[in-house]
Formats: sequence, structure tokens, C-alpha cells
Amino acid sequence: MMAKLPSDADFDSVEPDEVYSLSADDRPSAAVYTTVAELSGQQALEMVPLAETIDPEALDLMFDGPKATEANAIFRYADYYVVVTSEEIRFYEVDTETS
Amino acid sequence: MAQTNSTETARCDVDAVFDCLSHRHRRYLLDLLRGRTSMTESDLATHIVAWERAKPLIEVTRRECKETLSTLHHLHLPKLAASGLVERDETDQTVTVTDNPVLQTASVLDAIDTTTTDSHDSLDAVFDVLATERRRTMLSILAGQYHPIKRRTLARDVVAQEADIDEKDVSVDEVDAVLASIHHVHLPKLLDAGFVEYDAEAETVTYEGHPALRVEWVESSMGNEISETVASDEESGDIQTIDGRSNIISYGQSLCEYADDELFLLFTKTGLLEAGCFTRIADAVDRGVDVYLGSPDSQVRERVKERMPGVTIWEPKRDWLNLPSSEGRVGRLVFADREAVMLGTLGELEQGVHQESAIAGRGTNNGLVTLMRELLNPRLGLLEAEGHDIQSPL
Repeated sequence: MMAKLPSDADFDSVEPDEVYSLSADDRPSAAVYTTVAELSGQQALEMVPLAETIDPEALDLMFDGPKATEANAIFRYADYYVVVTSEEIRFYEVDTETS
Repeated sequence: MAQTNSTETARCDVDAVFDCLSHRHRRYLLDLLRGRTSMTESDLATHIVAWERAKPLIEVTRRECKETLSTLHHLHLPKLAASGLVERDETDQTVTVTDNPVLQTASVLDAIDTTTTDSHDSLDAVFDVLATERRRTMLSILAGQYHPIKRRTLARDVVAQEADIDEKDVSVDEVDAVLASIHHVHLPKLLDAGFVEYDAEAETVTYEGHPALRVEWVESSMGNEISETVASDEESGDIQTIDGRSNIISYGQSLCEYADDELFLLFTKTGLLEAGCFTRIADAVDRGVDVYLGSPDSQVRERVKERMPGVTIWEPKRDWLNLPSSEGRVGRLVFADREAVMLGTLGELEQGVHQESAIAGRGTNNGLVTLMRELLNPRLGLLEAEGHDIQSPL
């Protein structure tokens, strides 16, 4: 059974394994699958399609434009928890022992 | 994210329009608003609830409308307004449809006409697929393929088409980036909607098409607005010329969609019958259209026979329609309902592919159509008489 997804507050005290700074023309979805592939030592094409976890286009739309400054999204993709804000994406390796 | 130039803006508008059309409530709203001056948001909500629950407007209660009204207010109407299809008056909460040309396009009007449409879910999926330019480009490439295509080849074609450069000038990095987006985003969508099949081992994509898809929606990625390859119901005495293989393929495919009674097809060379044509021919058979297909390639004939048993197939043996004064010879012929025709001629070979050009005419009294009828009627009569199993070459 899959562990409960941690809430935003649970990450406050934890140091992320990787932080990706989003620039204006970045698509967050592309940053998610390329970075998780790199962290997992795999090619992007070897990973399970991101679309099987979340709708990548919905994620991109969520952070498209100035209205999104207050938004954030948390989900798990492969062995990482991913926290997306309008400025950056933080990656936390899932502790597979306890989850 | 930031829109940098007007072309970019125009392309985004097409995305936004298709996105609007990808929800049946939004299609229904557009259909409601057409031909009316304006409607209040609560009237619109009442109509949607009445339609959903198949009951008279007068029996819809305010309570039943509450949730629909908030979805309209927060989701559907902002989307429709942002894409320029409707205008909202915030003070008196009314909505008016704009004169956006999209809403004069016959194929779009068909799609939003809720009385004739029965498969709402599948239309949702089709428009969802179309709502991104990259996927429209993928579909247009896939529909022009005769064989399954390697995923990487597809990515390279997409890069070349998006940047409008030659395939050999495409960099590996660009192909990798597009291929990753195909793997993670676009291919899953096309698979979900049933547009393609994917062989993970061979890494090949096979185009299956979709009965609700119209050629002009895919081709809108070429221009910056939705255009129609076959104009609504206009008949003209003019003979049109069409240049370029992809334009010819899509015009031929749109004629296949246009046919109501009879579709007469001839392909003199192997490779002219693309996957996109296959699916449209199958759709025509499903609509009850009598389809006659001639091909010199026994593999094509076998394949058609296997996949579409309703099609009458024969082998064109004689020199079909060698045009005496033309520089090329006939490559493909599409004749729909004996009132619309496209005649494609093959020219010089370039990188293994024939240069093609075509002439087309539409309308019962069109000169080209009349000529084709004169030439083909005797042969068509013969085909009809011999029925579905033509053994002797014509």
C-alpha cells in the first residue's frame, strides 16, 4: 500500500535532495521528468511516463503566469516527492524503508 | 510562457479554442449562445441541468443549478472568454457569443451540435488531444505515414516541422528533448484517446485515426487559424490546384470524409495510400458509403481486403488516365459521390518520393467533375455490376 503523501509542513524541516530553479520559459513538467531521471541515474525515456502519475499539462498550466505565485503542488514521482512552486521545484528522495 | 510575438499568440489561440471544445458543457454553451443576443449565467446553468437530466426547463430547481452555476462562473466561462469565443458582462452577469470565425466553421458547428452528437466522451478526448500544437503536428505526420513509424523518427520530424527546417539540420539535443516530451506527455494522451497504437519493444507508433477527427482540425497547426480544406457547401465552377504532398494527402482525406454515397479511389503506385487514408476509408464504409479501391500493389489489396471487407477492390492493369499533355502521370484519384474530385499527378522523384501536384473540382456542374464522370461512369457501371469480388483486371 502506498504511504500517505506528506503535507507541505512536513518538508519544512527537511533538506531537499535537489532544487531546480524555474525560469520564465521552463515547463515545470519537463523539469520534473528530466531531474528525477538524473537523480535516479536513468534516461528520461527509461522512466515511467509522468502522465501516469499526474497530468503534466495541468501542472504546467497551474504555474503559467503571474497569477500562480501563491500556488504549489506536491506529488510523488518514481522514488521522489516533488514540491513545485512558481519559483522552484524541490525533490526529496522517498525513504522506501519506512514508507 | 510569456508570449513574444503575434504568431505565437495566434497559435495559442488555436490551442485555447480546442481546449474550450474539449468539455461537453462548453460545447453545449456555445451551441446555446449561437443565434441568441445574450443569456444570463443562471439561464445557462438551468439549460445545462435540463439537458443533462433530460427534463423540461421549468422543472429545474434553483438548488439543482447551484453547483453547475459555480462551475460555469469559475471554470467554463473564464476559459471561453479567454479564448475569445464569448464576452462576459460582469455587472449584469450576461454572456454573449462573439463573431469568432471558428464558430462559422462547419466541422466545429457539427461538433457542438448536441442533437446530432452522441459520443460526448470521445469528442472530449479528441479535442483534448488537439489542444496542443505539438500533438496536432504529430497527428499530421502520423496520418501521412504508410507504415508504423519509429518514435525517434517521429520526434525528429516534429522538430523539423516546428522549426520549419530540414530534417538533416535537426540537432540531437532537440530530438532528445522532444522525444522526452512525447514519452512523458503526448504519447500517453494519444494512446488514451485511441489515436495510435504503440509497440514498446520496437518503439514504433502506428496511426489508428479517430472517427470523430476532421482533417482541417489537424491542419490548423500549419496555418495560424482553423481553415477548411473543403469549404462548407460552396459549389464552384473553378478548378483548384493543390501543391505539395501533405496538402494533397489532406485534401484527399477530406474528400473521403465528404462522401455520402460513393467513393471511388485509385492509387497507381505503392506508398500513396497512407495510414490516415486507411482509417478514413474504413470510416466511409462504416457510414454506408460504397467504396471502390484500385491499387496495383497486391499487398495493399490484401491489407484492404483483410481490414475492410466491405470495400470493392480491383487491380488497375491498363494505363489508367495517362494525361496526354501533362508532364506527369496520374498517381492518385479520389472521386466522391461523383460530384467532387481530386486528381494527383506524379512528377520527378526526389529523395525516393515523387513530387506531386493535383487538380481538384467540386460541384455537380464543375468542369473537371463533369469530365471525370464522362470518363469513369462506364467503368463504375462495370464495377457495380461485378459486385464485390472483382477477379479480372480492369
